[in-house]
Parts: sequence; C-alpha cells; structure tokens
Amino acid sequence: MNKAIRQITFLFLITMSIGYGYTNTIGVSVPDTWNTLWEFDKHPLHFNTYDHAEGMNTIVYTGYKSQDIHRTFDPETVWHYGAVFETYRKLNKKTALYAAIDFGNTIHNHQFRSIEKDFYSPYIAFTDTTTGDFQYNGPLIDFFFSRDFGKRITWGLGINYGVERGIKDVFTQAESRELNSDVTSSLRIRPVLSLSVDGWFRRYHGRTALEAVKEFQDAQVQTWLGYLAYRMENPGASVDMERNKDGYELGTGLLFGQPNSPFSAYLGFSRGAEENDARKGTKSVASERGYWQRNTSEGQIWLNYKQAEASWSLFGTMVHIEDWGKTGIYEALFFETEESWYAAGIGLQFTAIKNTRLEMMARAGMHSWDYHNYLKAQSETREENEWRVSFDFDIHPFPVISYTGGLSVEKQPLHFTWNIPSLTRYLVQAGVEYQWGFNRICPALVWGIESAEGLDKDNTIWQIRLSVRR
Amino acid sequence: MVKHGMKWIAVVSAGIFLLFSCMEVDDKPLEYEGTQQKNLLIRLDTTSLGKFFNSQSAVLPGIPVVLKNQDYEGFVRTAYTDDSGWVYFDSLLNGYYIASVGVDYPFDNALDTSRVTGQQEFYVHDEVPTIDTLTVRVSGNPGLKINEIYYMGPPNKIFYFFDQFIELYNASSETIYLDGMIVCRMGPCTIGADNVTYIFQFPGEPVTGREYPVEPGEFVVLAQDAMNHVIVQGKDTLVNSIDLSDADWEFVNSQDYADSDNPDVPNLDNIEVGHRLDFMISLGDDVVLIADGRDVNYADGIDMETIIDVVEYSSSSTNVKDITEELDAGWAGVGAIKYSGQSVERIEPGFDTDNSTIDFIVLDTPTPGYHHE
Repeated sequence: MNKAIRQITFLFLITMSIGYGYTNTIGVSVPDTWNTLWEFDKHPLHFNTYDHAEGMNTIVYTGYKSQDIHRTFDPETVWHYGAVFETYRKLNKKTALYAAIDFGNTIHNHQFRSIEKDFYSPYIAFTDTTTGDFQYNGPLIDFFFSRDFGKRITWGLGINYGVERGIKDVFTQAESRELNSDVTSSLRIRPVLSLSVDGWFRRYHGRTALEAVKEFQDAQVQTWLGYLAYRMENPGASVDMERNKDGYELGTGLLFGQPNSPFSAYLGFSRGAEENDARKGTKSVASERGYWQRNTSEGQIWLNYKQAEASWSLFGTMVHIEDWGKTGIYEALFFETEESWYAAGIGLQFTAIKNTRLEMMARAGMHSWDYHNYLKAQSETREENEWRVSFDFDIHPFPVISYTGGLSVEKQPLHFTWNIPSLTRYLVQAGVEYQWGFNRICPALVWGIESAEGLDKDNTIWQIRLSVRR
Repeated sequence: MVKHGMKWIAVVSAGIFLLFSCMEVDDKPLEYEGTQQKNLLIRLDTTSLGKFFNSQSAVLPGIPVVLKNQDYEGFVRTAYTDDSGWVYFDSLLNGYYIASVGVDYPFDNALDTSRVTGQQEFYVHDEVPTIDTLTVRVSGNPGLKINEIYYMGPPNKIFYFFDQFIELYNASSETIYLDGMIVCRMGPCTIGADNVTYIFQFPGEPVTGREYPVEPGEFVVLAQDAMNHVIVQGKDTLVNSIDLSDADWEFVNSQDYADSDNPDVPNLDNIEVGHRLDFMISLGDDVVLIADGRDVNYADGIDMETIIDVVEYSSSSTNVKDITEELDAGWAGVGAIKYSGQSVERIEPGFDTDNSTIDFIVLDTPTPGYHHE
C-alpha cells in the first residue's frame, strides 16, 4: 500500500509540474451531443463508469454546414473532413486505456475579415481587410488512462493535445498556428463501498500565433477589444499577433451507490480560472494589447437507475462564468461579463420489443449573459430559455446487421453577439451496422437544419461518416 | 479501511492545496476604462498681435474643441469653451489624444473674422495632470505649402510607383513665385536640414524671379513623370493609377537619359552632381522639403531660414523622426498602405500647424490639382 501511495503522489506531482491543458474535441464534425445527456464520458474520472466497447474504431467523416444565418465575422459555409482512429483497451482488471487521434481538416469559406478561427470567442481578437477562405488542418490527440489501486482508489489521467495550422487563401494572406495542451489528473477514493470521493485537477495551456501578410502592399490589421472598439495597427508587409491562454480547474464530487444496486447518484462541483493575454508583434518587439480572465464555477448532480431492460437518468447542471479584461498599456478594466447556464433533464433507455433499444431524452434550461464594455459604453443583457428533445433507436433484426437512427429538436440560445436570440435545430440521423468478419462496418448519414424565428433563411447541415469497429 | 480512506483524503487535500498555490491569476483592476477627465484652457497667443490685444494672451469663449483618441478608431468628442476659455472633457478612455481647434472666430477688433487654429497632444491616464493648456493662433501659418503628397503607388503587382506627385498650395493672400525654389528629399537629419538626398530646382532666379507665379488659393502639381499612368504594363493593367499628363511641373533628371520628359510640361531639374535618379520618394517613410532656393549648396544641408515647408511622412507612428520637431512635429500618412492608391493631404487647403500628424489625413484616392471634399 505504501508503494501505491508513493506511486500516486509521484504521478500527482508530475502532473502538477508539467500541467498544461486544453480544449480540443476529437471528431469535431460529429454533432457533439447527439444522444449524450452531458459530456462526462471523456472525463478520466468518469470514463470507467461508461460502457465503452473495447476495440479499435476507425471513422472517416465529411461534413458541410451552410451558414446563411451568421454573424459578421463568421464564415458563410464550413466544410470538414478527416479521419479518427481510436482504441479502447482494458489492459487488465485494474487498468484501462483510451487513445485517439483525429486528422481533421476544416475549411471556412467566405470569412469576412476575421483572421481568427472564431472571432467571437476571445475578447481580444484580430481582423484584417480581406474576405477569403481559411483552411485549417492538424492532428488532435486524446489519451485517457485509468488505474485501480486496490479496491478503494482509482487514479485517472487525461491528456488532450492539438496542433492546428490555418491558411487564408487571398491576399492579405493570413496564417494561424494554434497549439493547445490539456492534462487532467483525477483521484477517486472509496472510504466505504457505497461512497466515492472524487478530486481532480486540470491544467491547460494554449497559444495562438497569427500573421497577416500582404504580397504587394501592406497588411492592415485591427485589434478588437470587445466587439465594437478597435485600434488600427501600424501596417506592414507582415503583421504578427499572438495570444496565450493558461488555466486550471479544480473539482470534487461524491458518488453514492451500493455495489449491487441499480441506483447511483453523483454530486460534483468545480472551479476554474483562465488567463488570456494578447499582444501585437513578435515576442522580441511585442506590444501588449490586453488581458482577460475567466473564472468558472460548475456543478453537476445526477441520479441513475441502470438495469439491462431499462435505465433512466435525472440530471442537473449549473455553470457560472465571470469574465473581465484590462487594457494592455493602462491596465484599466475594459469589460465585464457574467454568464450563467442552468439545465436539467431526464433520459430513458429501454428495450421496447425484442432486439430493439430505444433512447429518449429531454432537457430544459436557461442561458443568460450580462456584458458591459467600458471602452464603448456598450451593455448587452440576454436571457434565453433552452430545451432539447431527442429520440434514438437501435434495431437488431438479424445477428449480422442492425439499424440505427434518431432525431432531435433543440432550441439553442445564441451568444449576445448575435442579433437574433436563438436558433432551432432539427437533426435526423440514420445508419446501418453490418458485421463483416471481425469488423462491424457502419455508414451513417446526418442531416440537419437550423432556423430562426422571423428569418426566411436557414442553415443546413450534412454529414457522412463511415466507421469500422474491430 | 476508513482510516486508510481518511489518509488518502488528507493526501489529496494536500495535493489540492499545492496545486492551488502553484498558479496565481491577476487581480481584477479597480480602475474602469472611460472614467478619466481632461480640462483644457484654450489660450490665444497674441504675442505677434500686440496692436489688437493688450495682453500676451486672450481667451476665446464658445469655440469648439475637437478631441480625438489616437489609440482607438472613432473616439472623437467635441466640446465648447466656457466664458473663461476652459473646456471640460469627462468619461475619457486612457490613451493618447490630440485636441485641435480650427474655427473662424469673430473678433471684436480689426481682425474681424479670422481663422484660429491650434493643436495639443497629450496622454490621459492617472499619472498625468488633468489640466493642460492649448495655445491657438490667428490664421495659422500662411505661405506656400506642400498640400498633398502621393507616394504610395497604385494597387498593382509590378511594383509600379512612378505616378508619384507633390502638390503645392498658396495659402497666403499674395502671389508667390516659384522661380529658383528647390524641392528636396531629405535623409535623417541631425541638425536642422543637414542631410539632402535629392535636390531639384525650378528654373529662374530665386526670390527675385517673377516668371512662375502661384496665385493665392492656387494648386501646383509636381509630377515625378507627367504622363497618363493609367496604362497597360504587360499583363498588368494600372487601372487605379492617375493621369498626370496635365501636371503643372515635372521632375526631370537631365543626368538620367532614360527619364521620360513630357515636352508640354516644364521641368524641375536635378542639381545634385552625379545623381542619376528621378525624384522618387519612399513608399513607407520619407521627408519632403521646399525652400526658396537661396541656399543650393546641398553638401552642408539647407539653411533653415530659407525653408518654406517640410513634411515628414511615415506609415508607422513608432518610427524614429528623421527631422526635428521644429520643422515637423509629427508624421503624415500614419496607417497608409503601400501600393494602395492612397494619398496624404492637409485636412484643409494649406492648413499647417507644423505637425503633420494633425495637418494631414490619408485619402483613398489622390486629388492632384484640387482638394478633397
């Protein structure tokens, strides 16, 4: 036992000292919450709780989204294609391992001025003067490791790492280089068999380097502080910008559940802080443009009932985010944002008739923003309800073939930078899974549409993916 | 078992404490943007107007003062002086500002209604005083002015910039004669105007010549090459260039046999021995000077007392100044882009405070021989 303590303490300290963290998502083109109630399944703490099938999975995907409804600096269409290779193995009774790599390509067509992948995400962003197509590509890596130490301790480690390069195809040509890394270390202790105490720590780091280049004349770059105020940077044949992100999250939770009981319950809470700074110029001759900080509080609660023929879940989540930023030179507060998200829902999964599994989910909540920019005396407050219902089925009429399908309807509240309050999204999915030797081959098709009240245009989503599981 | 569990909780708690202590984030600042203030006393300098005023200065009530933030686009405020000559600005952002006055003021003496101009640059933040003085003068600084410089070149992919021109303007109430005047491109100067790069001269006798008059309010265009530059060069069409075939003057270097010479346009010729280039100026930053021509011994620079006007331009506001602030305290063309077809021109014909940052704006298209709207 003493050896185990030493091992865990050592690994914890290693994680602390190298800790970096980040937010890449493997398989970004796949609708990310197709039938998940919440996104716990990739958390190292909870990874073993889920019934992941062992094996290797190869996914080739392509997707397209026409964004007829978009903001000023958003692209008009987005196209993805790529391949994901993932594997999940239980190395022994105590140890589980998951690894995945996504070679993804994303193309933003007709992106007006923005040299950012998402102009509205950072509060300090950069634009130039041209409209063009951006092509992004690079590998993203996910790695999860979980190990039991005796019956009472589980240690988990999650690493997410990604590098991405983007090129804009017109002059002013622009290039972006992003590097993100994210490490989560978790520990689950069971003082008694019916109670687990969780603790986890996440450290992440991100760096974005942007460069605007003009071939025959000078590139003109603007630095935006918020969404209305900007400064013109000195033009040049090449203008460099850089942004760095550094953050951590710390969480704890309690899991209740008797070993042989179908019921389990979880109560979790986490806090985090993230720092971002932006500067114009290279490191040797950089001019600070600003700093902003994000402080998050997040809580989850759920109650599960799990049996072979029927399962259900009740869950609730709460997220509160406070952002503020200061200008680079004078270090005075230039914006404050408070954002809250509350949601609760229920999920059902049961076998209705022989060889047919049905899943139904409903979620409702509220999202609010309160934003103040002191450079432009801009105040935006928005409070919108959200809801989502989905229905999925999985039919196995024969041993070698099964059919999957689903549909969902969702009201998505939109960030206050949109001039419409929400979008309604309809998604339909259909797929076939065929057993071929030791492989299960599954082509699937997703179609969706997003509409907004009062607008006579829609966003459409298409996606085709082929997965081979072995 | 419970005992072991408690031990683990203690270990985790210690780890959490260590993790928290290893990352510190900045504190939220107490100062908000948009809370600064600036109070300006607008003072009319009357030192050369003794016959109109009893004191060295006077106050001007009710005149507009324009305050522009130089860090952010679109932050312009206008306020009016009170009876004591003070103007108050509040709710200001931190930053670098320029306050300017340009008004036709109705004096109650023989000056009648006269132009009053002035400007003041300053920073606004906690560590500088909120009170400052802006000195204005009557009728600015009359005379022959470099009114516009088009140096950026048209949008093109063959590095074409031979359509450059310099526009002069007679901002005085009297006829000015160009005879024998010199136009210079200057290099970095140490004392006064001591570093001449190019020197071209109008024909005629300096100061006393009367061959080439410029009437009050008249523009004069000096073209690098007086030709129609809207031409086709191979596969590239210079459709965004300009027609300078009707320019008033053309720079011609008689020591450069390849330099084009429009026979219908009179020439300024190079007088620098061994110099074989046309009057080409930089697309990024440079200095243009005109002088009355009494001193053409360029080797030791141009005598300050002969200088008529100087303009320094630079696309970057962080450049090192090439000439002293006595000649030009700022830069024209900050933010201008090479091969964009842009031009720099005074905000009003002949408007001159000897600070080109104030005096000039960047135009999207050049205006040879006339002023922008």
